[in-house]
Amino acid sequence: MLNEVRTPTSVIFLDPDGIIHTTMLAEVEQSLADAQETVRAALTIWGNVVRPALIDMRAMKGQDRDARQFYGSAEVAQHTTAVALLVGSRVSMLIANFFLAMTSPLVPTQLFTSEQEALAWLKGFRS
Amino acid sequence: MISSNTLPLEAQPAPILEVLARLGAGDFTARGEATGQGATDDALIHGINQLATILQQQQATIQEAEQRGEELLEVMLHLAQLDYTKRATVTAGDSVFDALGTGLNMLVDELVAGQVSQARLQEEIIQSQAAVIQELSTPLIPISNDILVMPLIGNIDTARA
Repeated sequence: MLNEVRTPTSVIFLDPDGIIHTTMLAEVEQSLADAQETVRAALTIWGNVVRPALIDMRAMKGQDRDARQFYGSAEVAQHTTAVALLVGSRVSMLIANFFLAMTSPLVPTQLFTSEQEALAWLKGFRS
Repeated sequence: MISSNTLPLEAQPAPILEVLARLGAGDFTARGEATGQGATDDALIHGINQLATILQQQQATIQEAEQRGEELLEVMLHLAQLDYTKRATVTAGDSVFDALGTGLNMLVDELVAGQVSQARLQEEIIQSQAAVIQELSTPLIPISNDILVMPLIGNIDTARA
């Protein structure tokens, strides 16, 4: 089974702990179509299991409203137990905070600046 | 013979003073040229040129910051006029201006979405009111100047009475 897939705006892989890692590529400004493609690609390695997900947004440049709404939708939430948003830059911090405030995530979602801490938190949500 | 290395500043060759005067006046493009008249002279010119380069870079940074600040202000002015067509420029960097621009653009998106849903809601309210009015509208049949006949449909409560 594949454990890594790529889209023009993201790289997704499944780690041995069963956590899905999605890294948004540098300089990327995601549209709804990009977000849908990312989730579609992720589901090819997701398996028929509900999993925790790490979203690395550190290099991300922007995300439009429709993409934000899509990531916060029930359609995406049904596959996840929890989401850790990894931020670093000022821009990524803003995008992530906007996401949290405007979409009211349906699964536990938290911001992290440390990948290690994010993974430790996600391990508590493995099904 | 006295070497120029030992001369006081006011006795230094005029070109150095000219460069210093231009820098002092805010012209950071001013540069001196090594004269080859002495190591101290050339070191002084080199130092002045380095300082001028730093000042020029700082000036460019300040100008860029002012320009980007003006751009953000322009977007906000458009917002103040309820014009949501203007967007802030976000570069590949991660400066405070990029973050402010990103935040501002996202706020504009939310305002536009809010406005659209408000307009849709208003349209629905108007349509449902029109339907109620249509349902309640009744023909009036005048009998005389003081009397008319009208059918009453539905329950007559205090609000309708």
